[in-house]
Amino acid sequence: MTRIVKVWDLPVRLFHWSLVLLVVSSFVTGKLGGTWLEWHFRSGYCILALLLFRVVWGLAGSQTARFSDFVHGPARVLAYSRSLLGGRTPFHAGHNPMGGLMIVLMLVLLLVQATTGLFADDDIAARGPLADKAPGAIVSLFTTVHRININVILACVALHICAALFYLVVKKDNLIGPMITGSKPVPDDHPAPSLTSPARAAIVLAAVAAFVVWLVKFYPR
Amino acid sequence: MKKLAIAVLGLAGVVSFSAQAQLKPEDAIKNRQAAMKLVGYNFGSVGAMVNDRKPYNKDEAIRNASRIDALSSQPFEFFGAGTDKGDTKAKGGCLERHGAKFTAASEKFQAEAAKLAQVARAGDMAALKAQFNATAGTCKACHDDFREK
Repeated sequence: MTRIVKVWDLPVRLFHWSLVLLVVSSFVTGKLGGTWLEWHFRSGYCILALLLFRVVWGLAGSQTARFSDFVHGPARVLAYSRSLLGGRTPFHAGHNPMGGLMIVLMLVLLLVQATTGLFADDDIAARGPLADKAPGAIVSLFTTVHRININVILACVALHICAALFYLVVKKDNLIGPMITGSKPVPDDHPAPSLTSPARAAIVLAAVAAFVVWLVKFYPR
Repeated sequence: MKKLAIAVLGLAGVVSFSAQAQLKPEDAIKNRQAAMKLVGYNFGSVGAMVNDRKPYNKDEAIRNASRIDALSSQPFEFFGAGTDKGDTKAKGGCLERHGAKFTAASEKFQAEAAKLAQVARAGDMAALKAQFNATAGTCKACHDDFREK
């Protein structure tokens, strides 16, 4: 038997879907170039703030948001991936071990992208706010990483979407709906995860946003 | 005066073009990078103005845009044989292998740069912003195709 349980808090869901919108807007404005790069910068600052928020929330947030809940060793990830093909897959209220791996990968790649962007120089007319603070070799290296890493991110996004569709179609397990509503059917023998107050998330977000504003607007002066 | 300037520039062009034969590849690379650097300096200034990162100053915009226009053909005189090796991000054989495409891309930039100087003199900020975008697009197109990441 199952009952409907809230597994994702509002901060995690808002984080996820704002990140989707911002990654798309960053990609598009980056490709358009010219004065669109002003929006590319703003979009990137928002992503950086979101990522920092998510890292803090992974340490001090709701149970299903915490790294300790979904980051596992290779043995566990491998065992889970085998069970995926075998048919009987163990239930996870939060992220499954492979999903957890994707989250860590995505956070690292996006943090690299946002950080290198701060130092990047496109050699046309756009310069990251911290480019003046770093030696030319770093600016050049970070610009190259910024240009190549986007392709790795796109590949991960594609894999992430394919995985969600695989669960939906093959495993008959809708992961997308709960990421919108927050709730999903959970077996009776699984306890409901404990969720932290969104007010705490708001305080964390305000703090990291203030840090990003300082980093890109006040520190470079 | 203007005619004289054009004649002098034209002559300089002929002289530099013929002088290029004796130029060492590493010097050619340095020359085109220097020209690009100055174009970039001036274009960055126009960019800061149209993006509200620094106050718009018509005279400065005209000065920047005219320099970009004047320099716009210079880098492309230094892409001869052997200049794809050394301290450069230029992709191999810009001219030899992709001659027509590369030349067309560089001419697009020169055309937009000329228009940028024209628009800057008119002093209309909205038009300058649009022309900044058009010009940046030609920079990007060429960098995307002919420059290593």
